[in-house]
Amino acid sequence: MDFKIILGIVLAGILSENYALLHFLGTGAVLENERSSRQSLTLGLGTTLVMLISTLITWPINNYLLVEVPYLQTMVFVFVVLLVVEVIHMIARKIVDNYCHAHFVKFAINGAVLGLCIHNTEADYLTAIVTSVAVGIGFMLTMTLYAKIESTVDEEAIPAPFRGIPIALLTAGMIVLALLALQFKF
Amino acid sequence: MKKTKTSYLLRGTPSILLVLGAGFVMASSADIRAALGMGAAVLVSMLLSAVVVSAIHKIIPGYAKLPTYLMIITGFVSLISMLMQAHFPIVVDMLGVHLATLAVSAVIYRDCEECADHNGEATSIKTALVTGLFFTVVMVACALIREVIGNASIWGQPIELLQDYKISAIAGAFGGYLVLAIVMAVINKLTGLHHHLDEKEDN
Repeated sequence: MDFKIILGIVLAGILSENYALLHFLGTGAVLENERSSRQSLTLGLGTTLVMLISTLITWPINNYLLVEVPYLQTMVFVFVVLLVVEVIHMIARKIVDNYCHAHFVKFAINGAVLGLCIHNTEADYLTAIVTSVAVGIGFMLTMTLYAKIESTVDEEAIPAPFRGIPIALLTAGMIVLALLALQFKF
Repeated sequence: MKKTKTSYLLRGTPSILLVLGAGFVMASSADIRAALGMGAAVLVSMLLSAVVVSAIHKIIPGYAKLPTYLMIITGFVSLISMLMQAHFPIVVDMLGVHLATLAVSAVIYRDCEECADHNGEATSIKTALVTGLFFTVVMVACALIREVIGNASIWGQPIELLQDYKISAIAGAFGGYLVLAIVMAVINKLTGLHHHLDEKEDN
């Protein structure tokens, strides 16, 4: 795999194939997020790690153990993601000072992680690993950017029925319009 | 029981649920068939999970609730996915990976955690039915708008009259956000939910 392909995958994962905004995977986690940009960045980093480790484990399981029983894919993948998230949560609690993300477990188990693991089964192992990092970075940047933009929205200037979630959706829609202008492909 | 239902629906839950499930509402609302399929999947999996969780919640220790509930939901989602694959393969193709990701959907999990975990079977079934039907109606409403305006078709059949006037962006990702935002604003206006939320912020 040469540098151009890796760069293409990374750019696609962050921009034109952004999971949270364009593929609607993990969108709820991004829209519901009311944390500061800094906390969003930390949670996003944790989710990226979950995506990478989950892909490292689920790809071989899918290609070697689930060949005869493909209908167990979702159950096995959810189980692996659960295990990975719990282990990262336990380690982070012990080694990170002021670890305050009590909701990390619920946050990190989202559609983006499971969807990525399922998508990655169609690629080769190396591509799957690069894709998981790229999608994770894209997810992290989306969360941070969205948290920053949402904190600057002046609710008073918005018609009452559009306050809250509708304006949050429209804000995300505007970011989507900008991303749609870019057409990098995996 | 009446108190539980009223508080569940009035404390802004429909809006919160729609945000948690915004991903699959938008993903499945480009076509009415997909919206109905996803609506049915959400409704049935939510209902079955609520029944099982409300029946066993007393014997599950607190630290094991998340993994147990998630695996229960995943089991039902896998079952529904296989049934749909057998009977409605076109709908499963339309929904793609989103049908599987329903297993980790915060909507179903939160319904189990907040309602089925604290109530009996009857209340849990009622709440799951109300929530599932609410989701299905919103998804179908969004799908109707997006399919007619974005694809100039309905139930996959082209509408000749609208072919020259269709706006393709509405059927795409941006249309998903735009249409859901408008539908939610209409829900807020009709239910007066924004007044409730404003009051909550003031307090």
